[in-house]
Amino acid sequence: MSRQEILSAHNYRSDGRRPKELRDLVISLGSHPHATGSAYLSHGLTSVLVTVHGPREAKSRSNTQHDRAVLSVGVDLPAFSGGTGGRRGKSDKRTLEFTSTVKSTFEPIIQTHLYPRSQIDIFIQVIQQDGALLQAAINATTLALIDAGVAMSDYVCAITCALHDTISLLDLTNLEENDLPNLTAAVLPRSSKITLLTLETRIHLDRFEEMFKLAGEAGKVIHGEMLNAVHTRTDALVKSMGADSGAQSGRSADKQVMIDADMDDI
Amino acid sequence: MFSISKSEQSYIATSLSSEKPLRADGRDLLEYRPIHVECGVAPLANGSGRAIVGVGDDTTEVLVAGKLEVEDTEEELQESGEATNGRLTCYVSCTSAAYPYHTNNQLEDLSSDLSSTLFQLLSSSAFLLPDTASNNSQLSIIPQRKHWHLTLEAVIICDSGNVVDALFIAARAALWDLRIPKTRSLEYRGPQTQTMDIDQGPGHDAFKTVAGKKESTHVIDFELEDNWDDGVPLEDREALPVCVTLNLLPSKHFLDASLQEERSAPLKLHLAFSFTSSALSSSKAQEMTGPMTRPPPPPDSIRNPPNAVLQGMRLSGSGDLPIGYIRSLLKDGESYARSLAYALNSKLREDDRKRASEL
Repeated sequence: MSRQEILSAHNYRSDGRRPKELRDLVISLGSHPHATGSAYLSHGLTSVLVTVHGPREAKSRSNTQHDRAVLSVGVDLPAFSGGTGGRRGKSDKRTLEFTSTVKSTFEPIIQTHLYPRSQIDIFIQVIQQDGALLQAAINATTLALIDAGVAMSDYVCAITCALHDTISLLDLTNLEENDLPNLTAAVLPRSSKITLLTLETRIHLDRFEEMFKLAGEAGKVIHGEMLNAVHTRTDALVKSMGADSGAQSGRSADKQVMIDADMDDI
Repeated sequence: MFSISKSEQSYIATSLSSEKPLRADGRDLLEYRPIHVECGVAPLANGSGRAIVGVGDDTTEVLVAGKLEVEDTEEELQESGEATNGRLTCYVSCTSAAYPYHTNNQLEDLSSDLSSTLFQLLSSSAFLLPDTASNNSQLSIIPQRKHWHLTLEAVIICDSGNVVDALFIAARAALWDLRIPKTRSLEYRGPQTQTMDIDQGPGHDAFKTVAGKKESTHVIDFELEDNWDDGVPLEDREALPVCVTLNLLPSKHFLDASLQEERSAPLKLHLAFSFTSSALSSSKAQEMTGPMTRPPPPPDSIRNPPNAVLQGMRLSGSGDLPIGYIRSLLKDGESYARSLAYALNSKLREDDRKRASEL
């Protein structure tokens, strides 16, 4: 079998994208009937379903903190999702690393002081993997938390970036992730701060800065898409509640709802 | 909703057992919630299916995918002491997304319980894994040497009651969608002067591809055929087992319980039936006259071969069942399973046709 090239002579990637082009983003909020909030998100062929339960009374008293909420993250990687190896157990090292990365990404963002003595459970169900799993998980978790109505200080938008020769690629597939040095970054779009940066390969310092800036911009683009999805969902909610007077556009109506709920203008 | 009081339980049980039974959503005792089934949801697996029972807030959703791996029959013989011509493993994953109020131990218990139920009720179906004496198992690659190991993995997305039925519908869809890659047997032929020695390692001698008609003792390896399609579907897919869960009350039974109804009538009878395709197309039991694709039945039933086979039975939950009731429950269960199998087969065949016409 011939080896697939990462980047063709005319700067096309193996799936026909340009170096800075992102994959198709599909977002669907609130599909899970029992969860407080849920989000299904897919970047191309990588799709995850994240459910959020809470804030609610903690399952075990010993786990609670008197002044803030406790976050717990779980992930399920079935064998059919296409990742290497069979099903991963709950105490597998890779799984533990994954869940603790997601947890430490969201802990400073969620306003946990508003929910003392409670627990927020986040569960990431991987349906299919084709690279950029952490990116998809973080983006889907952000949306699920918003769907659940958990107070956060900002959206968290994650993106992967790799280096091929001197060209930076965004939103990597499995093939690219395995072959190239790559990093995953999560940014807070409003404050342009970074909340997560993982790098498991070697990248030259000169190139790193360029990739880093690119990741920041890509995060803002993903933020735009997520905003659209949240607005669509809130529009539907507002209409069904009958709060839309009909003359107003959906967007301003939902700004009203947002302000009433004591959130900043997002 | 996840735990209901004794008075609620008694209220629901009484209304179900009454002269004119009432259910919370207005269904009949024997009415299922709308079932949605589809194939091919996980393209990276060899076969996959999804079943959604119910709509809106009241849905049970299960995703099942099957993956095939090659296994060495002799290694398997050493490890487990059984000679097989194909192996089936089932794993059901109960996540805390579907069961948010369960502790980790409860989740594991539930997961192993459902895995063993799925395995028991599927592994006894004859065409999938016949006894080792016959070599015509569909999961065999080179008889006595290499076989397929089919791993069925199920993920429960959410549970609003009747998860076993949904699990089976999804597993059936995954098995319907399963494509076994076509293989070709390879024979090793040594140089002409030496006698055939299969244990000799491959040297400079040529490999010859044989069309599979040679005696199996000379076949030592196989290769995958290079085809556009993913492989062959299982033979006799219409005879895959169908499971119905009868929820038992002292005087009657009902189907497709919601969560509250399950709490109020905890005793359940799971029945798995498989029907040959001719049995489904005729409404009455008839003599079969055409050639049969299954291995020949024992002599005394050649004239009236069974067209419905009870693959397995499982009683779960607290409570007991008078033995005299079992016969009528089996008869009723068979008729429910028959209609369910007919409906599922029609829908899956229709979907196949649509997909084939799209290509």
